[in-house]
Amino acid sequence: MEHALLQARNLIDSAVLEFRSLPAPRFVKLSADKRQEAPGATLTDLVAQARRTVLISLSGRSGQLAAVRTMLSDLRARTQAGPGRITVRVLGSASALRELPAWAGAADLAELRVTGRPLAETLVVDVAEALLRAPGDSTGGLLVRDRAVVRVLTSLFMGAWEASLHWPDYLLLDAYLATDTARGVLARLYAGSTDAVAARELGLSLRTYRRHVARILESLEVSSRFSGGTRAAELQLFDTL
Amino acid sequence: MLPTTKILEQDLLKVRGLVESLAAQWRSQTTNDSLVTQLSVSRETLGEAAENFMSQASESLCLIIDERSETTTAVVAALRRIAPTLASDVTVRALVPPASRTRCALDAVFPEEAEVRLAALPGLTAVVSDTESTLVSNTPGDPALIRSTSVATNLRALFDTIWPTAPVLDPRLRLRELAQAEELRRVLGCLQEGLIDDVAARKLSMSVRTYRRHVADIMALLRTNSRFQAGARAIETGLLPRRSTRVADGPVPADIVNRVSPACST
Repeated sequence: MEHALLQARNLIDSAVLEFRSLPAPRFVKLSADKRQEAPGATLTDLVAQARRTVLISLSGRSGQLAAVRTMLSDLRARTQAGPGRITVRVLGSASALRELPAWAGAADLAELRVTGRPLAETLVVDVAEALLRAPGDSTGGLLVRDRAVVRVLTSLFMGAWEASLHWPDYLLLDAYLATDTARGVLARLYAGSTDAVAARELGLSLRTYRRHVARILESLEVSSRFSGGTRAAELQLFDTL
Repeated sequence: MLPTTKILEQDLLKVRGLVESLAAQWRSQTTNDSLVTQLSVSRETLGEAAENFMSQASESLCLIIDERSETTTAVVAALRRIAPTLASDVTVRALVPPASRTRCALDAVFPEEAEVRLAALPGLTAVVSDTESTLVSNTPGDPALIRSTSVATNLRALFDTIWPTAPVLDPRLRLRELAQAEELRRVLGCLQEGLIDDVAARKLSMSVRTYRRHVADIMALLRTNSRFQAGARAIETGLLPRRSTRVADGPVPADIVNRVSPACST
């Protein structure tokens, strides 16, 4: 009996040695069951281990937003405690960003940018590890340690970052530009319609239409239609038309 | 059975259960690793693998191209071969580096089914097929095929965010090669500043009629019907560089004239 037990123990010892000699897994599918997850694998855990950069794209899912809010609170406490500022960049839709606390965009905490495009859930920490999730994913997400994939994710994130608008500036844009009328006028200006045709399509008199155009140019702080076009393109106002 | 022996047996069965669940975890871990297939960089196998991979796309192919890698040549060549066989509703989009030499070279190499735009995403070549799988190559390193919906979906979403703002690769917009390129550039500058025609013409020491003729040339070049549309297209095509996307809190700076994009220089 003792012999059988000792044999079993030796088998386990050699299994442990084998485990240790294996390369670290490059992809880990996380289970939705928190108890079974490897420690340090949730969004908040990964960010807690971050030393230089944290990149996040928001899908708008409430679970992710809750985790991000917790993460930001932790970061806020942490920044006040010690040295070594971490760069945190959060990319999301306007509705997702509005779910974050007002102090989230504080200069020493995180940078926020807004995009009109739908995003999936990307978290990249220190260009070393990533946590990904796609809509309809019922697991806890995919933990990625494969360097090539993490670098592609980082590179594309940075490209998307450059293409997105600084959140505080977005909030400063005249609320008028978000109205249906303004959007209707912008769409026709973008399409190159003549004022007469555009006015008719919108059911406005020519004079009223031109007044709206003037109002748009004023909101964009430009003095000509050409520069209105460039400014609107730079601010990506045509994205969501 | 004595009580102590019963406890021993129960404990042994617990250990057995633990070992079994470890085996199950291990099995699921190895399926995770099967998400990745390493590919060799040898031209033939890579080309074939890339063809197989890309021809399975049923919805979209998103390519990010870095001209400097071996993988790129094989991938673009493979794309050229399979592009005509793709279903007509499969969108093929590629982001290529803005460096002039590359723009002009790749212009000839991409199949006409592909829409090509410019973005600076150096050191990587990747192809995302639908939201299913991805071909990835970072120099240095061998290319790999990743069959993961999470990876592909995230990469596609980020790609979709970059795409609308990436300037279009339009060989017609090589300002330098046009007659009166310098004048057109200065006219563009005045237009972006928002100057009215009279003021702009005076600034450029030309008649208003000449100024308006140049404006008409620019509008024809951009294929637009109105000045607003021309302004938007000028940014979208990269003819005018995007200024920082910060909302201006003052008048547009006067040195805009110096900042007009040099376009393709070869």
